[in-house]
Amino acid sequence: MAAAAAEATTDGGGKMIILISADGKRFEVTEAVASQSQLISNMIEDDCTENGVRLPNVDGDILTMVVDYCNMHAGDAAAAGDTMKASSTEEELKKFDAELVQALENPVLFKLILAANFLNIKSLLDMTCQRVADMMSGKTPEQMRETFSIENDFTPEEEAAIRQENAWAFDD
Amino acid sequence: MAKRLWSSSPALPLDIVVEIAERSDPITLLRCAAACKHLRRVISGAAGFFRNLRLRNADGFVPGLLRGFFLQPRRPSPNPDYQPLRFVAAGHAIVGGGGGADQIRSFVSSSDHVYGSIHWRIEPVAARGGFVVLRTGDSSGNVCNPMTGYVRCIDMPRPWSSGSYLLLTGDDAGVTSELHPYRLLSVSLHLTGTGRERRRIHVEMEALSPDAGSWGPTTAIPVEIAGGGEYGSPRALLIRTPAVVDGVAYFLGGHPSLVFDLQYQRRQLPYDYFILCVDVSSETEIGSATSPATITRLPTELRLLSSCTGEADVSPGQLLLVPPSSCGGGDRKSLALLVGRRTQVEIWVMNFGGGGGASARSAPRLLSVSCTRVVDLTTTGVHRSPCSPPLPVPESDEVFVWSGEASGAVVLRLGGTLCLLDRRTMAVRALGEDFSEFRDGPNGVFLPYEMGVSSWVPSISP
Repeated sequence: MAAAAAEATTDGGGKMIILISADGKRFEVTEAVASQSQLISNMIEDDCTENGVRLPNVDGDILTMVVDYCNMHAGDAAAAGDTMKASSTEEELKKFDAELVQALENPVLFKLILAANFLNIKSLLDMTCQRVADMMSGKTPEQMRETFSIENDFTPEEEAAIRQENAWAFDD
Repeated sequence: MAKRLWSSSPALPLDIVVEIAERSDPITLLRCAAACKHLRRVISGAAGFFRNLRLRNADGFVPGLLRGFFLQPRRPSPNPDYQPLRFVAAGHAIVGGGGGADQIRSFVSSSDHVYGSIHWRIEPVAARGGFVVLRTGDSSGNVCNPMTGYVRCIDMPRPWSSGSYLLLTGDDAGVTSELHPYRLLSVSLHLTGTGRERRRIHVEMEALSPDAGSWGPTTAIPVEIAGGGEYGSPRALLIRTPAVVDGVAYFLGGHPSLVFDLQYQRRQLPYDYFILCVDVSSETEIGSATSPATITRLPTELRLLSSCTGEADVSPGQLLLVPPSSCGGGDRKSLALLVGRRTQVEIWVMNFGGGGGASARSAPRLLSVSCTRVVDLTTTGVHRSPCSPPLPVPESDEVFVWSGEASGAVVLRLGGTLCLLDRRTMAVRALGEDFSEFRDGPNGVFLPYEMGVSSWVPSISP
């Protein structure tokens, strides 16, 4: 994956750009793939991708996932013509997405969320947030604080009042 | 950002935590709002910006969504009148109501009218996804959501019709109206052709227009019989309210048949069970070219109960169609059938292909059936209260009463006790004395109430 391409080539009509992760890994992707990130899309418009795009917030292994995701979803916008092909890839995409998030545990999943947020890739952010939401089901407020590293700033009295207000949601 | 130095898991910014909470279910959202002051302020809406909740039933069932039961038992003879409608909350330790229990109770008392000596009976006839259909008179009724205060007067013709009311809400696909976030359908089976003519079966469906409160035209939907042939039993009927999965309503149906044996005694033949699949996914579909409904007979091994005395028939009460539990993949086209045999519950998974969705407009077909799990209720016993030891399960056939699509709760009758089965854990809890009038069998209105997820708005003081 860490392709160190020297010059920006054209592949299938698309201009290539290079993404550089925090730990210096380089990923060569087409502009169409990369512009699913609103951040990079804006940079392409502003013509400042010449020397590669440095992403100091994103580790190489996380960027690998993001690039895989974007490669997989690049067809979304482009291939609107062939309906037969589009419907089969839709199934494939769903499967790919499900497998991508299903396998991830918290630290990696959170890093992927942060990357999707930083790069501004809405569909990936939606999907990863939904996965965490599903994982939160049935957790107590204390477990949520742990998961999200949140400090409890309520007094015991405030906390009791909060539980009282919607007691049914704190049954078990 | 200093926190990251000691935490292996990165901390998410709180605005992302809010995004996550808004995609969970009501209970998870309320618990998130109890985690810290900032989350509480934002989720309660006090932070001043419009929150776009995308609550949904998370991956799996949320038992807390079963809020309680509408009960209206008959008085014992000689005056088989109905008692006033009441609401019994489902939780065991609900202090001071909450969770809508108060709203629902005040809703129940305000809909119970007594004028002089005349007691106007309000009868709940259907409930799903937070909405309730009430019959208030011979030709009138209400659709309401006790949790949000929504009330709409509607026409309710044909009090004795064989139709089955089906409520679709914003929790289902295809319901997009914000003003009236539900659709109400009436679905019934009909036969055409009498006597020696070829009998053909079809489905009739009517949809309520919430704006006018009146019913639209009847749509006749042709029925395809899976495996060919005809299905023309004059007694075919829909046994239970349907399970809705991915825009398709699955009804358990059957027809009992009576024969005379050599002694000229009437004897009940085995029910011939079938599953009727009706596409209810989109509003515009009704009245225009509708995809046909299908009838699929249940395989014989599901109809016969093996016992030491040979094979006996499965009665309708031993069968219950339920939506799949989504843990372990998310194949939304599958459906589960619970089969009660003595104290065991068999879970059969039925995979349907075709139908549903917007792309493939064909009738759903049963592709495969297999028994994936058998749970013996005697191994867990029946819990009366959280602290007392479980009681043994009585050695009698269980009878399924109801299944909750969002909560994963199943109401069943074990011996002389109404019980609640949690499909996630398969634990059984006895429902208390409030339900004593219903322990022997159907006796008036018994309508469990699950709250809706998408139309619900939390009430949180900041």
